[in-house]
Amino acid sequence: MGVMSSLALLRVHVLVVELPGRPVLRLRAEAAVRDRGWIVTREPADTDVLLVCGTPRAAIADAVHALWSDVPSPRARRTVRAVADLGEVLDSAARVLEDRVLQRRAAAEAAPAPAGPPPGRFGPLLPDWPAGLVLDCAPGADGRIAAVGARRLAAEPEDDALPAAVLAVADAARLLRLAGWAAPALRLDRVVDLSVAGVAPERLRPRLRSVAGRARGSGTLRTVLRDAAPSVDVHARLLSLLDAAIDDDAPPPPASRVLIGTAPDAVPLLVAATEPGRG
Amino acid sequence: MADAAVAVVALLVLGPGAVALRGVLDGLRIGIPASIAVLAPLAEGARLVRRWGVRSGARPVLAGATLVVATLLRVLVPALAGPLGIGGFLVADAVWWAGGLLLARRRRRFLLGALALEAPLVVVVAAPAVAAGGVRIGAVAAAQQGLPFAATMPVAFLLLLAVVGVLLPWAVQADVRRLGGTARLLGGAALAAQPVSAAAAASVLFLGLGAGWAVVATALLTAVVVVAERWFPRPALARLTRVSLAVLLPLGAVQLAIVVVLAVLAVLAG
Repeated sequence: MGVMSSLALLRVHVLVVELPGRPVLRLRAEAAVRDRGWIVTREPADTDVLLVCGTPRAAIADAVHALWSDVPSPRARRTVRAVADLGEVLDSAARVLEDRVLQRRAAAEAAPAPAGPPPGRFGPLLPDWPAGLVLDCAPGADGRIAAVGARRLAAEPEDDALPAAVLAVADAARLLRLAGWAAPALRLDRVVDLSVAGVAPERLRPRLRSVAGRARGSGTLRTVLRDAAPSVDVHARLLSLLDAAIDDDAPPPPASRVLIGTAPDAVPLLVAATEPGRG
Repeated sequence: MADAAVAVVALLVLGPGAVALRGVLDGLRIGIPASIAVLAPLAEGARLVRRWGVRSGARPVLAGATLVVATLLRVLVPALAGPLGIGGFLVADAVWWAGGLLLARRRRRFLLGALALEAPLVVVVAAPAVAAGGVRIGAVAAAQQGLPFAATMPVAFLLLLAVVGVLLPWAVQADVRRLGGTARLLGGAALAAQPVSAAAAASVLFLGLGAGWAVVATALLTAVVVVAERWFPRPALARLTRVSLAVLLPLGAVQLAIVVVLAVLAVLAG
């Protein structure tokens, strides 16, 4: 293996795709990725490994293929259905990435990119988006959403579980990422990873209190969230998620979702703030 | 030309240094050892150099290259600006915005944001020119032989670091993140180099430092910018536009007004 390959494999960027119903597997996969010193990315164009968590059924296979077609070479795609397989799956992805002959052959045989989604469609697979949720938003004359159609793809059962408080931390990290505040979101990701690894909640509370304190005291965050999604108090939702996690409790239900009259740019944050806790 | 060479080498060293610092700070949060995280610039570079099959076309690559050129121009102003003097910093800003415009999906909105963010910079660059009585680099440096301008006009000093080092990268960051391959490599390099070039400009404009000490000051100020930017969420461009017009521009204008009044009083007294 050359120097370039060795260096590149130090920070493999993995796009972890959660299929409907598999949030816990996705969280465990992200923890396994970060445990190797690899990076969990949210952008297909910046991805080395597409890691699909769950069974890609026909209804969602096109969406997975659309993500895959945006991933440049060298690239690897792996599907994982059980936590026990994660280590081997990531190892094999790394082997595929460094196999230049295989990469050239795969690039030559790649299927053409599918047509993009219709304008105004969100989902079913997006970064920091509830897996399987599809929203079709029709804009009005002022550019704001005038009509919304929503449906959910069928979720597969998951026989794994994490405490509600851990899922609340993951939801809070998602809100911070969508708000553009990566540093505290990474701290919460670490809390999730340590929880997944079995670290006791009381040992993680100081980190949670630190992030909650920063989020509570940040006027900039409050303003950014109010600007981005004026119809929902996202800041209050974020704090309620963090407080629930600190108390090792389930978070309160979110506010009801109103998308009519909002700007399409606000949809991901609004959906994240109004989706019941799923991790 | 020696100063220009020093500036380029400093940028080539400190730009990856900024990426390494970010890598270490992120690594501390997610549990990656610093000894691995510090290799982030090499690892990222290797990943992106090996890329192919990116369906992006020439435009994003041109945009990324333009952003890199903007950062280079900014550090080369002291050596190459000539009669344009510190006005060269505004030329570098214009090149940065041109690169951003090539990437922007909503060009009109981006252009309005660029104008709003550039307005306080024009005021900030005007302040040392007024205090020094000219735009030439030599005049600005000579005027700081006693007390550096950072002490007499701290608001302008901080505004320059904040706007050029943090807000200009934020304005294009979302578009750069959508890129892959060569365009991503160039765009990422520009984002990494921008705090360095902001620190270099601040060292010349507000600390009056020559090539040697300017490199040391640039390294320290770059670290400060990289750490400080993490304290705040990154707002959307529309929000940055409003903050610039409502807060940054008035702050810069008040600073410039004070500098003008002091300059007039000095002329009258002399």
